[in-house]
Amino acid sequence: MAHDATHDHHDDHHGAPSNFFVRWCMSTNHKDIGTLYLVFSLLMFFIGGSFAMVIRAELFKPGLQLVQPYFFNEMTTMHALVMIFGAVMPAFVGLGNWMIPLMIGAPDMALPRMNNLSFWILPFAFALLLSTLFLPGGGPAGGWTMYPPLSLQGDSVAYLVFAVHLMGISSIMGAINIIATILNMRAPGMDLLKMPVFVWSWLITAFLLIAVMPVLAGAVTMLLTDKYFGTSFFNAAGGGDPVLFQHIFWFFGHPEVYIMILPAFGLVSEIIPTFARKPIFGYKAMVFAIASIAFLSFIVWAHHMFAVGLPLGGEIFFMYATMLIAVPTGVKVFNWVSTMWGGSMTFETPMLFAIAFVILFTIGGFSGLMLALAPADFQYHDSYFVVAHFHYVLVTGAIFAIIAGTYYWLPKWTGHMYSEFWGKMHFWNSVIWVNVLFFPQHFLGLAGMPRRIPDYNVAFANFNMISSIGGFLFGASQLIFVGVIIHCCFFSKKKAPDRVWEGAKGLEWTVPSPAPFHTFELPPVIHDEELAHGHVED
Amino acid sequence: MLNRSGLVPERVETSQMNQSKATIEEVRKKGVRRTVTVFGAIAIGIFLLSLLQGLKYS
Repeated sequence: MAHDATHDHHDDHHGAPSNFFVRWCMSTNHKDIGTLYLVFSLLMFFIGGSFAMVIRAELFKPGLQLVQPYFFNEMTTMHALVMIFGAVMPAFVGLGNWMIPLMIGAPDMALPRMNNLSFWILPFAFALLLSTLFLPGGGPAGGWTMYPPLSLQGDSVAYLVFAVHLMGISSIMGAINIIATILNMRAPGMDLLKMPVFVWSWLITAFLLIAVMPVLAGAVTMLLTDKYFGTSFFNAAGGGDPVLFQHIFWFFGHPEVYIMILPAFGLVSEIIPTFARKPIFGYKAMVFAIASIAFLSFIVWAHHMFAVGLPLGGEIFFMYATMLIAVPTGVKVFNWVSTMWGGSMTFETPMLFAIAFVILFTIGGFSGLMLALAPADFQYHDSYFVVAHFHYVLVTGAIFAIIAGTYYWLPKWTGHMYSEFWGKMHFWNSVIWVNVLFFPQHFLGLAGMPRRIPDYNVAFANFNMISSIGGFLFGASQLIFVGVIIHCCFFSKKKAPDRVWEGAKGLEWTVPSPAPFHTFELPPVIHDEELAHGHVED
Repeated sequence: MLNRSGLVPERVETSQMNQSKATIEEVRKKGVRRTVTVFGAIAIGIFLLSLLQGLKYS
């Protein structure tokens, strides 16, 4: 048992400061900061979700119903920015903060004060961004991709750029912290190839973050100087090139997609073996597949720009490079299925969300392959097909994985079991309505409905109405999630055992539930049989 | 028996892993400082490089 440190007398079960301000605003504890990230992410999920409700309400019927076109554009822009930078990324950082030190036997993150700063930058960044909605000229409305010259119209550019800089600084500090933690703070005996797949996925994601967030910072800095300091980086009249922005943006933007999905792969790779009661099939292949996807993500950016007028050689290169990503992704999907094959499976809520992830993410992957075909992309480009594709990847992919991870570790965090009945209610409502919401958007896109438009041809009316009904009900379903979390944190009477799930392996299950304020102050003695991947041969 | 980091190498019997807390903390601190320096420099370098690319192609 890896218990030497976890059950040590030095462990402080009551070490949290009693003062609310000191505990939550000045915290250097990875668990508290992880909780802050997760609560912030949930709040942003509902703010971004409310913007989506406005979009779906406007699109419920053809014609302008509720909002003016400019406000509609603000909603699409802010929905994306809030969901990407405010909901999905902080949720993964929160899960990483909570679980990485527990999984590798570290007492805390390597840089606890920087960890506090990384989090507390975010509320200010989003306050700044959301405040633009109340400016006289309105908020950013040029899309989250911020393409000039469209994005340079309006007076909110400086707010947007400063907010993006703050988010970038927060992400880079968080990434450095995670790398420093994983490389330096592992307990002796926690070999790199014995680490849980979730830790591996975060290590690789952190490398991606450090490589691409500065590129985004550079791109928006140039936007700022074009707008306010008379430069012409992206202004054709001054000798610049608007397409240059697209190249720079997507050099960040495509790896960003993988920043939002690689930790999800890691989460699912933890959950499926637990509920299949089998070690993950092909542990090393899973790790190398994540690394391959991360590498390939750097050489496919221009598939977002097929319709911009690239040279033919470029289109062919980016088409084939993009299709190559299906290989390591296929390895992962087949390994998840192989892990389940012949296992003693049970279907608790985390497992249900993980299985839904595998199936629905694969649908998103297939529509991605269709979009990767350059000649076909000329038809699909900027249509609702693209909207359907990336929502399958990001909602039923990233967000379902985050929800699965939350249900998986909630008993460890709170010391109480959540309501399995309401968890399953949440799952079935989510999985049904999310498909009602996004599946018809494939048909809308193939029929030619453009994205980011508040009005549309009456021919698209039926599918839009179905999609909007799905959207409202999917949004309402997420209130069940909040109810389950609140119930588990404050009202649940059912105590969680240390090893919450019968088939769970890894150091995090050797500490008591709820996890004490301080854990692994002395490095644990690690026995291979306690680890999920303890018997990996070199 | 120590590796370059000053810790007992990985993949050894657990009985050999009885290093003092102070040794481990010192080694961790040194490693963390090195990691932060390297990756911080890389991040700043990439930011400057992206600005240079903007200057070069505009």
